[in-house]
Amino acid sequence: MLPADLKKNLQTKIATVSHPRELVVDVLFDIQMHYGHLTDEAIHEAAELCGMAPVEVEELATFYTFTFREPVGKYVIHVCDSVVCWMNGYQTIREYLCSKLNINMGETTPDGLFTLIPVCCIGYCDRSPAILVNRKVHGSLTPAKLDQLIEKIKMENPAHVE
Amino acid sequence: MPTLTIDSRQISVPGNTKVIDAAERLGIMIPRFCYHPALGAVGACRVCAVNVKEGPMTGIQMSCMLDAGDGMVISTHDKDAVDFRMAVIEWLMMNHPHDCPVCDEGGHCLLQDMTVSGGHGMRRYPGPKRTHQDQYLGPLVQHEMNRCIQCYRCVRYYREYTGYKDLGVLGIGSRVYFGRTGDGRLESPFAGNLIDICPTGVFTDKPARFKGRKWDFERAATVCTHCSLGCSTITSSRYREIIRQEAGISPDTNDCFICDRGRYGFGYANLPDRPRQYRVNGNPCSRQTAWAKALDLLDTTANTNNPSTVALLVSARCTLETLVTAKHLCHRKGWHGPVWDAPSGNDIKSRNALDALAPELVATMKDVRESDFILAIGTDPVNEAPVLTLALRQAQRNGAHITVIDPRPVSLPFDFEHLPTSPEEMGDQLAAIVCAALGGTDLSHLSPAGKAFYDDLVLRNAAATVPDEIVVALKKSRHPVIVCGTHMVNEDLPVLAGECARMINQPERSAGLFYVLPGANGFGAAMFTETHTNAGLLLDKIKSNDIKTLIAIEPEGCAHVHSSPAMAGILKSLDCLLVMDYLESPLSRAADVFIPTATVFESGGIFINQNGTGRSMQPLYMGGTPIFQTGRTGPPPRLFESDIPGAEHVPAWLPLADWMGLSLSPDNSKRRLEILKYTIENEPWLSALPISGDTGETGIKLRIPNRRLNEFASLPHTRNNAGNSNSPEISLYTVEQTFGTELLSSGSPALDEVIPQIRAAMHPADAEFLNLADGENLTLVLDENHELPCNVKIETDMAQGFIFIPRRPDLPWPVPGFAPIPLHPDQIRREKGDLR
Amino acid sequence: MSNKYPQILFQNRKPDRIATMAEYKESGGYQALADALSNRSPAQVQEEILDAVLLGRGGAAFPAGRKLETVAEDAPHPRYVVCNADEMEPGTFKDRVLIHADPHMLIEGMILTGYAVNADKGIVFIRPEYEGAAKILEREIRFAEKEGLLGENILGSGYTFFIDVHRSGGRYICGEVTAQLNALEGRRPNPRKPPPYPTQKGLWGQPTISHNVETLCCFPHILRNGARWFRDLALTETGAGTKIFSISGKVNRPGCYELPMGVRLSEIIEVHAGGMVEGSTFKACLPGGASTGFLTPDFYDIEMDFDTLRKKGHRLGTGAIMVFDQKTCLTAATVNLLEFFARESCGWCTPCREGLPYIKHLLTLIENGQGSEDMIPTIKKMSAQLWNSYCAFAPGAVAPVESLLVYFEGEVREHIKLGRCLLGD
Ligand SMILES: Cc1cc2nc3c(=O)[nH]c(=O)nc-3n(C[C@H](O)[C@H](O)[C@H](O)COP(=O)(O)O)c2cc1C
Ligand code: SF4
Ligand code: FES
Repeated sequence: MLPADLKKNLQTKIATVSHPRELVVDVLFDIQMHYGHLTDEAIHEAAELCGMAPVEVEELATFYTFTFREPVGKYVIHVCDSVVCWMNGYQTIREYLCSKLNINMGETTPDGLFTLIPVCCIGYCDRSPAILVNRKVHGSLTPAKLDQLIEKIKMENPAHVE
Repeated sequence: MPTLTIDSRQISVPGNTKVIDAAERLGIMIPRFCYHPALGAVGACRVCAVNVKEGPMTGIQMSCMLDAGDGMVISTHDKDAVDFRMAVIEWLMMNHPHDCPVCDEGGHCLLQDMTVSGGHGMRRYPGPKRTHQDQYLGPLVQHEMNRCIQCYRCVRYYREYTGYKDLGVLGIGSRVYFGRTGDGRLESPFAGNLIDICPTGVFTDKPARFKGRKWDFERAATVCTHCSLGCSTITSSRYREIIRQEAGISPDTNDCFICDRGRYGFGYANLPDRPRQYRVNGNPCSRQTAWAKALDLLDTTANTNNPSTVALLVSARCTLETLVTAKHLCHRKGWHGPVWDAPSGNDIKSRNALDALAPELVATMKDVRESDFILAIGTDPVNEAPVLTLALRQAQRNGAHITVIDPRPVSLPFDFEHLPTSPEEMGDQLAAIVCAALGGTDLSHLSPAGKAFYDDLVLRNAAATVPDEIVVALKKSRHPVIVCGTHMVNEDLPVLAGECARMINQPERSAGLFYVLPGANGFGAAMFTETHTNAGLLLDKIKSNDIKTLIAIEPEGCAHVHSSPAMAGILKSLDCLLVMDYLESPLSRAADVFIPTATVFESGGIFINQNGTGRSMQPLYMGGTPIFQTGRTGPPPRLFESDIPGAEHVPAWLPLADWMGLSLSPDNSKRRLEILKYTIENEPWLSALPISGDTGETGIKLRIPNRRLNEFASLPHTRNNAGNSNSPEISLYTVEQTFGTELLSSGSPALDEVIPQIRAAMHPADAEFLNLADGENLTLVLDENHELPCNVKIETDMAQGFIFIPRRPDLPWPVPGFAPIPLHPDQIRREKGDLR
Repeated sequence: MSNKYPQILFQNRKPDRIATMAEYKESGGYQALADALSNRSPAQVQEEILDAVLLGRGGAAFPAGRKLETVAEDAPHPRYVVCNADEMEPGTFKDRVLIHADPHMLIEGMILTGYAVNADKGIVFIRPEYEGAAKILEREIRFAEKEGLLGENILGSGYTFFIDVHRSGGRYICGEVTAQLNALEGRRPNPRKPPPYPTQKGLWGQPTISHNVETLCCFPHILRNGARWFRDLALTETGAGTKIFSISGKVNRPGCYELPMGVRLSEIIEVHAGGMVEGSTFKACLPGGASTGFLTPDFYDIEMDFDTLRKKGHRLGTGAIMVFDQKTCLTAATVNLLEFFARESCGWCTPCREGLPYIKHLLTLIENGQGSEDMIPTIKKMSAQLWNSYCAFAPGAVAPVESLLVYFEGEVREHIKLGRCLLGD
């Protein structure tokens, strides 16, 4: 169940627009933030908030890149695999991340901290190879930079450190 | 009218015709998957490519998206076009499982046809196939997503055409998936059309799975007999069993779709325990014995008593042939009747409706689809005439304003205005709307009767207020249609509705009138049964010993009140009960002589739908006990006899014709034509029907003998005052439901699972007064002998002072014809036994 | 930065921060708006834009002035202006840089566009990866509103226009105008086939003008300095204005450069992008994003202008130049591009949905050394057939494939012959 204040917030936001369904992606993002991913319940809640049928919301939740219908880690690492990053070392970055986190692309670490997903060009080709961590971009990556990044996250989440 | 050239042949077509349709007029069938005449063009599948040689845009174009233009030159067999279409099919087949041998679509599969005819025969794509998991979609429709070719027809049909919202397109790219948010029964009562609309085997007929290929079947164009609309169907049978039904195409009626009641309702004809044998005093006997006994009994009655003590009971499920023969038999013999065994006094209301159905007003379903304002009064379309819902939906999609005035919690899969109104007040609402819309209009052209009618309307409308939007919409409309039911209305309402339609039918506004009648042949029954009697009066006459012999032919209402002690008493006072039917009922079990009759699939017959269109069907098969496929190897069990086991039934008209002394040929098919001829020749207004019995795809519009032609009726001034607002009583009504109430389909095992539990719909205020909560179990005490367990369903969108329960044939209803029962709060008991 | 050309869109660009509204105003910002609102009719604004030959910078190069004209004077309200900041074409990142450089230029551009068609509301459709840009815009929109430059009764002129920021869920097809309208309505972002055109029935069935960020950013400058000035910015006869080129790949200084339309490719690479990286030589580039064809060294000196490239059978697209060197296998690069397109295909029409994975599979086999000669004609034929898809996505997707087989067929065949890739990994 959505917390009352989040629901209220969303309702208030929706009340300001002429077509509630235009906000469905925003609502999905907010609800996703709460649950971590879009649960079945989340789909129904979003549908109710936006005055849509659940399947209409499902149609979008399964379409977009940044809506997760399956559980993901606390930090979703999107590794850009489009042509410029590919040319500039995507392979190395990917392999490094996979071995460092000890998971394959599309998987989540057992501690639930990281999920690795390939993603299409994120518009930072000038800083390739680039990744997104929870939609925040990190560019011109090297293994050393990745180490720093991962370690920092792990430090910030001591509960997750094995 | 643009003229264009397609494959070197010229054709002129109306403006806005798509090239794909223009070609079809020339007999050139351009391949298509996503295009469907009822859904329109979206250009998704790209298989209808043609080469435009001359035109505004030359080269490969999709013919479904292209308006035929003057001077266009188009080739459908140009190499480019053929190659491209072949490529499209190859792409579509990349992920297809090639499981035709075990696919039920095989043999009537558009994808199969296109793949073969398109010339893509060899698999070249070396990659793996993507696969999907299927969903459970309920007992009627089977899902097999791997076969999908992503034409989007299903979702467009389901969401756009019907307005239901639980099927969607999930995912993206080559992984798009057509399904629901999770397993579960498809909510739409029109879901079965997915089977027809899917060009491959993603949605198939679940009850019919693995039962045969198209070429195994005996197939015939049929007419649906599960409500008064008379939708076109196509029925397939095999091994003396009806296997499946598809929607037929009939532009004036169902367009391309039917409801699931119609699609799966045929099961009663297959029932192994359907009465297939003649019986005398309950004991099976030969046809000769039963026949002789019947004659004997009738002779005795006619000789010892007077012929007027013999009564004939018929119903709206009888064919026209049966009804007409019954009428003439009664007249000739001086018997009482035929009496229409209609539930809830629907007989009188139907007759009133037909009286008001002036020829210039008659609306077809097509008219409803094309209308811009619809006022449905006293009808609950999804439950009473399901496909009417689809017609309303199409009107709504085109911008029509739709209002429903009805006490029930009417729900439709689209936006509409519902005015929950008690039956007593519905007329006032109607009057108020019409008066308000006509206010300020010049009515000087009206005859004195018309003026008097208008004055009556004004008088009536004093009591009601109606939302402004409705009035405004009616004022603006050019093609309004008034839809009027016959079940939930008072006797005078059909007349009022008809006359209101006539009132608003003005030079600049052509109004339509559309009645929903009871049964498949309510029209015929209203026309051919005796007007000043009805089933209730007939029962009184039996009680008073005025009727001693009852011949019940495929009865309907009376068959349900059998089990009450009162009914038992009534039956006891009969000297002789003769029942002819293809369904078993307590009435048939009590019969002195029982004659098994043929279903329409076996006998064929004519039905007149609610707008007076006569539609005939040929017999599909001979009938007989089905040879149920066991699934085991070896031939089905057989006995070597000259007759088909279980096929002794006769059309109901046959014994009647015999008693009347008509000499008919012993040959089945000849006899059928003879009775048709008799039927048509003896009723002058049926003369438009062809003696051959072939009424074609759309049927024959009959000119209804209008009894009151251009004169307005005078309205009864007194209103029925059934609802006294001071009394604590609540009226208990039985109402139709899509599944489970219509007599024939409720006997169809395929639908068992979709019949909802019996719930008692009531207004929140009533529930509060009775201290009942939603979902609570309760028992309604109907009288000292009858109790009805059910479950509370609180509905905000209904009139106050009513309880509605589904009119299931198996309800222990104590009153004939399901007449409403006033309930005192004492009669409403909580499950635990405590009184409220 | 060694850029001798006039900086118009980038005039307030700072290396480390966003230009403030004050800075924007200082540089002449919002003058065009004030002037238009008090001195020009919408028709005059339209005329100026038409005269400036401003071609859409989102990739399709449709004349902006002509689009404005298609909104009928008596068209119903509300009317919308949609700013396409989806920018998902691989290689393209100029819109992000523009918003981060000078957000008010976009805001003023949107208001002016709105004024030109008497629109009521503007919506910035922005990809979710650009959350930073979205936040900047939201903040600056509020500042503009506070100063009366946006919202109710702008500068007392009686003209009212609001701007909203709408976040996408993230898919390349959302950049296609009609798909974007569906996305904005909370529907599946499948394209819609005109007619009706969005300018007649667009968002919520109302007249809608859609433009790319860069296109909109040109509006204030054209209106302030005149159409003639704008046309003269270009180095070529047919070109007009400047272009933001986003350069990436094997160059020393990848990034965005504002250069006159018609500047030579060689100059962009050598002068502005700092030349090829150490040890790399120029093998090819994609001139305008992933949906354009490879330019070989033969085109090294070509004038980068919509018209010149079109005449040579190429497209300038978004002006996103991706430079490949001799060590990069272009077959593999094309497989990568196809992977992108196949993944992003919306799934509406058959050729795109199925044809792209088909071609990708064949090309992957070839790249892996498992290909056969007959695959090459198949790929060629299928690529051509993909032009008959529903929208412009698939024709764009096959552009690199088709050019690969025109200019580098030998390299492709080499894979088949050798049973492996000579370069790459
Ligand atoms: C598949 C596809 C993706 C597109 N993506 C974008 C995009 O991300 N940004 C953009 O401005 N235009 C994009 N376009 C082009 C738009 O359809 C459209 O032409 C443009 O936004 C119009 O604006 P303009 O006239 O200012 O260029 C895309 C087109 C297609 C076919
Ligand atoms: S070409 Fe077809 S499948 Fe591809 S993006 Fe366009 S409409 Fe969608
Ligand atoms: S039938 Fe024309 S594109 Fe599908």
